[in-house]
Amino acid sequence: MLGIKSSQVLLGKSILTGNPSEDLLKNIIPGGKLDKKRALEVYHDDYVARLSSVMADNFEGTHAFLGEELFFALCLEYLDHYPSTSPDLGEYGKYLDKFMKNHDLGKEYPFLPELCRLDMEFMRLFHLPKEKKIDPDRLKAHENLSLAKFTLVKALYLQKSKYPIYKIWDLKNLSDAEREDVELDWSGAENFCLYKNMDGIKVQFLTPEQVDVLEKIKLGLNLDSALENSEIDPLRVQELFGFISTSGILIDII
Amino acid sequence: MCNIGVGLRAEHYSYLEARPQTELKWFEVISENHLNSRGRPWEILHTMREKFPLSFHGVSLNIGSYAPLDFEYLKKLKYMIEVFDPFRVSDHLCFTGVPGANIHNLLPLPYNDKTLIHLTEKLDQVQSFLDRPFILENLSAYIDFQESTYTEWEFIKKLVERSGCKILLDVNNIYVNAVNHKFDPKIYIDHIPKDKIEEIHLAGYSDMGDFLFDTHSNPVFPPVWDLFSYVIKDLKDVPVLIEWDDDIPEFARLEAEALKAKKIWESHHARN
Repeated sequence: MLGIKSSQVLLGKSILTGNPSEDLLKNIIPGGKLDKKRALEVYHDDYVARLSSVMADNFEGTHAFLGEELFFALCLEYLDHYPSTSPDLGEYGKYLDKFMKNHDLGKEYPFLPELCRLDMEFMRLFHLPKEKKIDPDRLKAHENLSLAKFTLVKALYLQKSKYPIYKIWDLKNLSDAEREDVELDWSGAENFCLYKNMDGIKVQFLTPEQVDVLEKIKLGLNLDSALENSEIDPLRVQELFGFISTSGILIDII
Repeated sequence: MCNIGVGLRAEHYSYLEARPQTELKWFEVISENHLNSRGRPWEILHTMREKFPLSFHGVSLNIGSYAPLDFEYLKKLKYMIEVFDPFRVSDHLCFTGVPGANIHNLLPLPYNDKTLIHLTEKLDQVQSFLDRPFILENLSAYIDFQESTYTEWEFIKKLVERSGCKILLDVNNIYVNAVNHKFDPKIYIDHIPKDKIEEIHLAGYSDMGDFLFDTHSNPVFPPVWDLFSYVIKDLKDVPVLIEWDDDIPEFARLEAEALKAKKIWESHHARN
């Protein structure tokens, strides 16, 4: 007899690997017209299908770019390395960007770790609450904005990329047929922020200098300190301030 | 009166946010889909709770595991209970993973005295922590263990007696197991203490040729409706839920399936 712990450990291993032990096979009775190995395969196959489907949901951009065959082959490899450890399936795949860095696909398509990261950040923003923007009158009434500290929404992700990463990620919104017709040019850097305001998740394209300044503001620096040593054009500062004050990402100012 | 509900699924959020008219009385929420979110999955619970009672149904309590309970998970569940005040909180009579790996499947346990003692202790901890009677659902299983010394229905009856837990009776799962493990489903139902049944689940399986698979991807099949009629003859006012989790149809189709349950319930109780 196996006992509770051994039966669970052996059944768990069988589901995770697809290779049941002799001890487990001796101790089970299969259902239906299944033999013992096939009955255990039902659980293994269901596990692979469920987790792969979850990854397709969590990594829509990566899934759309790679297509069914490559993406689901990648899922199988990832599943072998990283079993789920959380009750929340929304968290599954959280190491995929790191996994891609050493993967052959990551070498063939060097932007893939960033693409995975963007999928993950989109999901992070999706699950964060909407935060109410600051009253515009408080902003107008502030005496010295250059020394003010801005509090920005938590749902803000900044990205500087050598690749047109948002454009690649956005392919998920095309049909399979439309995607096949796209001749993608991977050259061309993109710098942007993904943010969530009361209307939902949005994107704003920025210059690299604007991303740097916004990153510093996000970290708590006042505008003067954020601009220190920056070569940002004054017109771009004005543009960035316009974005901060009207997009809904500014929730407090002190 | 038949108290019918359906599962709240992301595919229907937009439709339900428009607050359509419906004969449904309540919605079931998969706890894990909302525990860690404060975005739309959390907001929709507030929207739905304004108009409907909610039940929380978990899939990762892992109560049958040899490992200790995950109290971080239970704390989050308790917070959700405090915020949304569900009228039922349930999970499954199973284990769902081993330390280091959540398998996200409902895995069977050997039905014997050791498991009975183990589960009773775990249920005691859960019921004390949540400060409410807990409800466990019977599951579909594609294997049984040589070391089972009780039938599933004998085990459930003993567990209810020992632990004070209640039963979420999944009629589809009883039928799937009856076919796969070759027993008479009416014997199963006859042994279940009716006063402990807190909720009924109905769903559609998939016939794989060599076994029935509990996929929740189809309408309820006639033999399951027949068993439903058999179960409800001794029941009053037990909430009934249609589960549909794969190949999810438009809301109207799901609602129509729930209304079938209502019709069967009403015709049966009108007769008696």
